[in-house]
Amino acid sequence: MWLDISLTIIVFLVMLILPPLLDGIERKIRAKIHSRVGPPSIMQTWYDIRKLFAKELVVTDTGYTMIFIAILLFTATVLTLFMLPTGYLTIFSRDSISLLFFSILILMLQLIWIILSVAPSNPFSTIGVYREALLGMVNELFFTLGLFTLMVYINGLSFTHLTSINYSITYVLIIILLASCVYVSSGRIPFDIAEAEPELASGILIEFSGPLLGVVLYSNLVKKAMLYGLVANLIIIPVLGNLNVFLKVLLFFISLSIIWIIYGVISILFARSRIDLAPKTLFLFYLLMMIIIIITWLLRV
Amino acid sequence: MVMNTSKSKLSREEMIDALKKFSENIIFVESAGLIIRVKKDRLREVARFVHDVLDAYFRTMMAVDERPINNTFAAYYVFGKDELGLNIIIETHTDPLGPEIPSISDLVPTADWYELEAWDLLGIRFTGRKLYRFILPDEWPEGLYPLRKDVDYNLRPVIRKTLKQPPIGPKVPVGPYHPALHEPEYFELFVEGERVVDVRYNGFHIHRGIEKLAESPRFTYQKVPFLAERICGICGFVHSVSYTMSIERVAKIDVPERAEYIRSIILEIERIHSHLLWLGVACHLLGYDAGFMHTWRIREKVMVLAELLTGSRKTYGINLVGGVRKDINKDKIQVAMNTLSSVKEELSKLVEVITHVPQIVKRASGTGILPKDDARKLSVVGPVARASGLNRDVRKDYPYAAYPHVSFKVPVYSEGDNLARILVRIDEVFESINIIEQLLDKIPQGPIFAEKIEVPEGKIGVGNVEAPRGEVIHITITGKGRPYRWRVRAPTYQNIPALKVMLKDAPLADAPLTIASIDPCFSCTDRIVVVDLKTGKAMKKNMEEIIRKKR
Repeated sequence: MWLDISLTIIVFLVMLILPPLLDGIERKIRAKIHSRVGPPSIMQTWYDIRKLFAKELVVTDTGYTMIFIAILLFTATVLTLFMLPTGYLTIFSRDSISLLFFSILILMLQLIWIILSVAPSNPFSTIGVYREALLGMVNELFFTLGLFTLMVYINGLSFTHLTSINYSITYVLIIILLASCVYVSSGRIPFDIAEAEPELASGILIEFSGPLLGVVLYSNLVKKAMLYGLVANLIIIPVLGNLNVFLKVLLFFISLSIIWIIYGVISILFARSRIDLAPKTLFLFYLLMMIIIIITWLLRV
Repeated sequence: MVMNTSKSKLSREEMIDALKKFSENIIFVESAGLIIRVKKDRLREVARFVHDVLDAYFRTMMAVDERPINNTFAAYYVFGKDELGLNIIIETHTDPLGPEIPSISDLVPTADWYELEAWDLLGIRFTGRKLYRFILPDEWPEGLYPLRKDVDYNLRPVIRKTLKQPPIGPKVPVGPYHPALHEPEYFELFVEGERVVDVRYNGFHIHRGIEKLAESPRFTYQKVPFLAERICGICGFVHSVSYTMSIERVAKIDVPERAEYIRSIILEIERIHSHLLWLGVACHLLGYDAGFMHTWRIREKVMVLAELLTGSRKTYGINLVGGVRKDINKDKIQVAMNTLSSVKEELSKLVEVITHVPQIVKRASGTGILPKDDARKLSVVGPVARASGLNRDVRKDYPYAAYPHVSFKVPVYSEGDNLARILVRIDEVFESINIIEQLLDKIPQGPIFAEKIEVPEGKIGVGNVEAPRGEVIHITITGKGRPYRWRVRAPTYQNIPALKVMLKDAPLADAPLTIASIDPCFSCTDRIVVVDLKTGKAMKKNMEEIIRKKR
């Protein structure tokens, strides 16, 4: 019991510290591929966040709403983090509806993100949120469908059901579908069209500055880690079996780091898409994936 | 408007005959072109004939205060007849009191900005059109025209108070400071959802008045090239060469061949680094930062080469009226050859990658389209013209420097979209490398500076250079020891009006790329006016002072 509680707290704390570090590693790798030096250390993202928190809080006309929603975003992010298993099933992720609850929370985070973007009445953020919502209509739909398919496939609503799953083509395809949705949800190129800094002057983030921007950016990094953590769990939990819990946790963080870096490298290969192109492309891809999943499932391969 | 294409193929003599029906006062000036002097009431007729029937494109217009010479205000409209490599200059004069000239902007749309500028700076009223403040800031006093000869070049006028509020409404403001834009400019994009339905441009935020400065006692013919080179932070050498060319043509200076070769080499180096800079920025706008970084990595080699050959990475300061100040030796030629070979190899690989990134191809194809007819009507220049199917290149059409001694292709694409403009510039980089290699191979021995320089007064000269962004054209009327009037026209001035066509009905997401696709080059922050709206006081400060104050 005490081991459970201590481990849950420890992994929770690591999950709070790790995302900016992983972002720092990604920035260094990206710089290497770009043939440039990049940030001085992998701590740079943490330094950036610290600097933002050291700045004065500028409150605009819509500032108080923005502060309220930003706090809501941070709180919801931290709450969702409790539900995430880390290779090893923590107290909360062992619950009978943990997967369902996690799915609802993570989708709700996306919704809060949209509400946060609506708050400032700036034409650039309005365009940004329109893009975010339009892209979300396709991506979140298939993300939900993917999670639902997963629950049906594992025959349960809890992460615990993943432990009894055997790898099959259908399961691999479900992971690919969810990994794709996660990639898009994390706002990576070519799907960073809601921020699109050179087009919209940061779009949805345009009105945020100082500590408020720090909260939003940090929450976003933690959300990213949770999304990638979901994929890592789907990959490793079925194969970990009765391995030592510490090894399970270690393997989880290694997988999470690898996934983060792979996503980072993939994003370097592409340019930004456009709002009239991205949802169509995604819709066709996801639809095709769903059809293939259903066919393989029916064929029991 | 029906265009008579058969007449557009007239020879020079036939053209002079055809123009004689408007005026008998036609002369051919070697330093400028064919000058037809007409009374202002026949200006529209002649302009229509030259533009529509002779199919000559509008290159520039220079308005001049000639009251000290002949008690008139004059306007020189320069049209280009590419096939003949000939300028047709329509000269007209107006009374000094209440100067008025009929507007030709309805016949020649490109003349619109030129007329507004002449109204702002010289107070020449163009009849038959709406005039409004265009270049001068709102705070500049009414009735004070800075390019008039009776206005001192260092006058600091008492500014007028304006409390103009920024416009509000369903518009997306792009600028004056926007991450996608390199310099201060302001576009209002009227949108419906993500589609741009109309565009309004507001520019000239920091007009520097360098034309006036060059007429001041502080400058001489040999000092102006250094001022001209500071017009642009990327391709300043083109302005320097264009100015010196206009003077050298007037003064019939025999510029040594070796100096012409050196000028051409540096001009092409400038084109390479400018195009690579632009290609990197285009990649960044499209979110492809790997392309951005690697393009600039390759560009760095070109900058180092420029430093080796001239002593500076930028703003070389080697050009003078009559030749150049710095020679190129054999060792440098070898290093240059090696650098160019390496740039060519690395860029070929990078271009192969960039042009196959699906989002770049998809987003650049079919966006920001400028149809050939609009391109012709708007007299666009440079890669913008060539991407819309116009085979227009000053290096071929109005040969200068050492270009007649080398063979090269002018890349022309017919699609008129952003991708075509990307491809034109990429092809041009390789052509420039080819040109430099030929020039380095053939560079003749000899002096690099003319023996005799005497500039006669009261003559007109035209200098033009194919800059990376399109043709730069300088017209100079010579004066005593310095230009009497120096008119600069940069390519962006000619290309910006085309953005209205290119942006209309295009996706908002592509607007920054489309704006960037003309490779705009706006005025830089040399000296600016800061106005405190509360006190109404203007402060003239340089950028360092302002930054210091902000700290």
